This record gives sequence, structure tokens and C-alpha cells, in this order.
Amino acid sequence: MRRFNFERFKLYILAMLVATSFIQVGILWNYQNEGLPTNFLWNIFESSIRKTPGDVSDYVKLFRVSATEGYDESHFILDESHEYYEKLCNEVFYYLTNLLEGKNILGKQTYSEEYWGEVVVKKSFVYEFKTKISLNILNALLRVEKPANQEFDGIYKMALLPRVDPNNNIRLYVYDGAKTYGFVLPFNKKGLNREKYNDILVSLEANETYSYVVMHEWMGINKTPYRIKPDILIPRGSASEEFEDIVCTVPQIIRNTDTSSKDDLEKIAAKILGNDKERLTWGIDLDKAIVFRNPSKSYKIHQDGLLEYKYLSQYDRADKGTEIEALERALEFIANMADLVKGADIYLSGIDSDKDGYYTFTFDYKVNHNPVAFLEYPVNTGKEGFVNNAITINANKKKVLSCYWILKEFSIGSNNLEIRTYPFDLLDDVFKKYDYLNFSNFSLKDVIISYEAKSSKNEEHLKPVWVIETMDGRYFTVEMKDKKGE
Amino acid sequence: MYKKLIYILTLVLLITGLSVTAFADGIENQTLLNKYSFLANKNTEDTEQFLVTITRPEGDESTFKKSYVICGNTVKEDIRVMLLIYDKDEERYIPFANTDGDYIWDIGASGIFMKEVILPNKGANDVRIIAYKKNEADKLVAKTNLQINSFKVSVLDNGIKEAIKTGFLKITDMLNGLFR
Repeated sequence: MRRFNFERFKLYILAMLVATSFIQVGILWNYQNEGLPTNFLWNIFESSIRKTPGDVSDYVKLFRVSATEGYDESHFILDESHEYYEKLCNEVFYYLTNLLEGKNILGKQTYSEEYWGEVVVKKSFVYEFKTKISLNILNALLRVEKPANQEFDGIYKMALLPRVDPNNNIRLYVYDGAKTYGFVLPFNKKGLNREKYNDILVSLEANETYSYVVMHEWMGINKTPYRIKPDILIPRGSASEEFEDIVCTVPQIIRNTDTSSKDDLEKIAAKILGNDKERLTWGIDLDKAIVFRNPSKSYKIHQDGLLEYKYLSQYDRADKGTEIEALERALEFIANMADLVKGADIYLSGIDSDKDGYYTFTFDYKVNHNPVAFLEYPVNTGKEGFVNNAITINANKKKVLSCYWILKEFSIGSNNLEIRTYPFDLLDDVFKKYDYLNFSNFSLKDVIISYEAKSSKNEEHLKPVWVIETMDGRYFTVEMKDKKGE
Repeated sequence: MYKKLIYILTLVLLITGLSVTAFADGIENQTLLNKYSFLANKNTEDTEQFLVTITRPEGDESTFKKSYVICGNTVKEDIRVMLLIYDKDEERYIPFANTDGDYIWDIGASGIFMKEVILPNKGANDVRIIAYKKNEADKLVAKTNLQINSFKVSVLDNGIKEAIKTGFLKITDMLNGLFR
């Protein structure tokens, strides 16, 4: 009897050893690839236990909302703090949800790209993303459960025209960067009616302080020596505007880290790496950057606040997935560290879907509703010589493959700037500053006033500049003149 | 003594030099108008827009604002533009300064110009835009190397704007009522 029990005991031990060896193999396998050592078990139930990412709506935001009475009239830009901003955004998202669900569409028509230029100079409310947002991201943003088929695969800009339809309906125009699509929908019974839209425009005109004009209204369509997108807004006259003094610094936790102190390094590891910190080794690079790494991941934090992340193992190109799946991985990554960036909102500013096996997402900062530009920001250690955005992330549906993130803290200083928003010399100034430009290699996609931030370990007082974006994705900056120097 | 003299002479030259620069526009404008008196004449015929394409105004235009932006572009190099406005009292076109204080300017490397002017008259303002090759200013011939274009830009009263708006709204609302 006793002998029989001993054999059984050995059997149990053997079974346990087999099981633990599987677990060990699983742990090592997972360790070589990604995440926590228990992820190999979690992966079995991946869909049900996937960590909730940063909410899509926290990062996929409208870049600009504007309104106009029509041709040759002022265009007003409404920022997020404007009393009508939320109301107008709710309106367009209501109609957009209906459109994506294929509900209540009374009519539709497809137009050329040029037609978008005609739409924005009618009595309209125009809503712009900074980049074309694909339908699967929009469906996630608006929680559309049963999306209808659409002729377009994404939306770059939209416009609501409450007054043009003769049958008392509202028109929603969608522009995907190549074509314009018009839809007729009934007015939202719980939303704004024609008169309310009109009242908003009247109120904007009555309080007219600072306004814009569509460049094409002055330049004519297809009359310029180079291509100009049909909806570029520039300040209407030789006015000046008061700009806040935006102060930009490296986050305190990085700034105050003593790289020779183990405690400091542990503190920063806990802040930046979270659960990953236990299995990473750390060291200090030749350029005094803090490096954390394991066989599959590397984090490098430079003194100017630049965080460089790399996934070091091979990734499967078949894991590219959809844009929303990859975006969710990118947002998880950002959400874990977003509190290092203080005083700024992060918004999705670009999507490149053409990469083999992954997507590239870019994000930028807005400080007090003002965009901040990091143009030609040097990132000397990687393949790229520089980045043009605050965050550049490569991700597939499973993981983030690499990331450049310029971590900064922002605050408002006390020295307000009186800057002349005089647009009339703008193009000559661009051609003067970049003397290799000519009519054949120049075009205009957008003109934006942004605060320009440069690579620095020290505190910077940012100044507003004109940022000119060309249709082939290049950026040029032109200094804005101080009012005193006009 | 010599030092003082040289100092004073330098100062005088400097001041004179600066004044010449400041008034260069005006002098060139006036010289041009004196030399080519037909430019100021109301009856001078317009030419084709063969040097500069004027995109604003595009023909005769109306506006509700006194601030008005004149725009145009060219693919040609070394083009100079001069702005005139008709003076009823003098019965001729006279130089018209933009908000930078320039009557005359060169089109820059961008090939595009935008110049803001303050229209002086409620109602009609007769504006003339002259364009020419700046290195041929001493032998300008209309339609050959001299472009002349005249426009009427009318500043309308804001009351008219309100009336148009209200009228339009009433008509559209009436139509909506009929077809509802």
C-alpha cells in the first residue's frame, strides 16, 4: 500500500515538473517577445482581457472649427473654449453618425476636389481634422455599431450647410482630400435649427475681432503659378494679435534625475516603464541618455526630453491589422506615459498606412488651444535624422514597434506677445528664406500659426511662427514679426 | 576741425540718403506719371493682362469693408506694379498708397502679391493697376511691355448688406413654406 502511494507521489511530481517546464518555456518565449511573463496565458484570452486603451476620443480630435456667412465674408475660427464650440461639434457628430450608420440620408452626390473650395465659401460651418481619419477609426470614435458602406474610406474635413437646401434639410459635405461628397439629411429635431445656426453667425459677426479669409477668394481657382489647396485660411488683414507666452521645459522628473543615483533611476523607470521596469536593465549612454533595455525592448531618455522606444525582436508583417487596431496599441502606449506631458493636449496629427507591416501615427501638442510645432527636431541616434511631430509611433495590431516622443511640460508665462499677423509678405518670405524653392517644387496645402519648439535641455519661451505645409508633406516656417517692429 | 567737418558731412549725407530711400517710391511714381502722362488719363484704354494676372478685383466689384486686398500673380521676373486711384477733383489718376505706404512695389520670388488698401470713398473707387518690366521703365509701350487695368471697387453701406440678408432670408423662408 505504502509502495503504491509513493509511485503515485512520483507521478504527481513528474506531472508538476512537466507543467512548470511548460510554464517556464512560455515565460521565456513571452520574455523574448513582449509584455509580462504571464502574457502567454493571457494571450489565449486576448480579446476578452485586452487592456482598455486611452479612449480614442481623447486623442482623435477636431483640429479646427470655423464658420462663415459666405463668399467674401469673414471666416471665424472657434477654439475649444468658445461658447458655441461644443454645441457645433455635437451637431456635426450627430449628422456624421447618421451618415456612417446610413440613416436618414435623403440624397447624395459626389463632386471633384475643387468643389470643396466652393463649399467653404458658402454660408457654412467647417470642421477639420489634422489628417484624414479612416472610417474604422471614426466608427470607434462615434461608437457606430453597424456601419453602412460608404463611397469614401475616410474623412479629412466636413462642412454643415444649414441654408442651401430648398426643402428645409441640412447638407453635410465630406472631403477626403481627393473628392467631395455631399449628403442631404433632415435637421436634428433636438439640435440647432436654421435660425439657431443663423443666430450663431450673426453673433460671431457682431463680436468680430479677428477673422480669416479663404486664400482662393483672393487668388482665384487655378490662377496661381503653383497649386494652392482650395480652403486655406489666412488672416484677413494687417491686424495684430496678442499671443500668450508659452514656456516649454523638459519634464521635471527627467530634469531632476541624477544619473548616478540608483533611486532616481528607479523612480524614472517606475514612471516611464510601469510594469516593464522589473525586467529591464539600465545604464547611461555616452550622450548621458538614460537607457533601459531587455532582449526585446529598449527605452532611451535623452536630456532634452526625447524618449526613444524600440521593439528589438522581429515582428510579423501579417500582424499589420486595421488602422483602429494599431491606433489602439499606440494609444495604450501613450496613455501610460501621457501624464509626463503637462499643460498640453495631445491630438492625432497624421496617419501613414502605406508602410509594410505597420502604421505610422503622429501626434502633436496644443497648449491652451494653440498648436505647437516640433519641426526638423533632431533624433540623431535612429534611422531618422529628425522628426516633425511631438510623437511618432510605428505600431501594428499587436504592439508598438518604435516611438519617438518629445516629452515636454508647458506653462503660460507672464510676457504676452503682440504679434503682427500680417499675411501679405508671407509667400515672399518663404521664397526668400528657402531660396531653392521655385514654382515647380512648391505648393500650398495649409498655413497655420503655431508655436515653434526646438531641441533644448533648457527652458524655452516659444514664439509663434507661420507654418507652411506643402502638398508633398514638407514644412516651411516663417518668423512672425513683433508688432513693435512693424 | 577737419574731424568735425567730416562728421557733419557724413551726417548730412546719411540723412539725405535715408530721405531718398524713403521717398524713392513717390519719386519713381511721379517720374513715371510725368513721363507717361497717359497713365493718369481716364480715357486711356486698358490692355490685356499679359504681364500680371489680377485676381482681385476680378472686374468691377462691391464690398462692405473699406479695407480691401488687391491680389495678382505672374510667372515673369522683374515685374513692378504701380497703384493709382482716380481723383475727381484733379480729373486724373493719382498714386494710391497701400497700407504699407507703398505706391509701387516689385513682385517677389513667390510670384504672388497681396496688398491691402483702404478705399477712401463710400460708393465707387476707380482703381488702376499698372504693371511693367522694371528694367524697361524708360521705354514703356502699352500692350508691349506695359499693362494697364482699371477697376471700379464700390464700398456699399452695411445697411444694404442687412437688407439683402433679411430679404434673402425672407424669400428663402417663404419658399421653404411653400414647398414644405
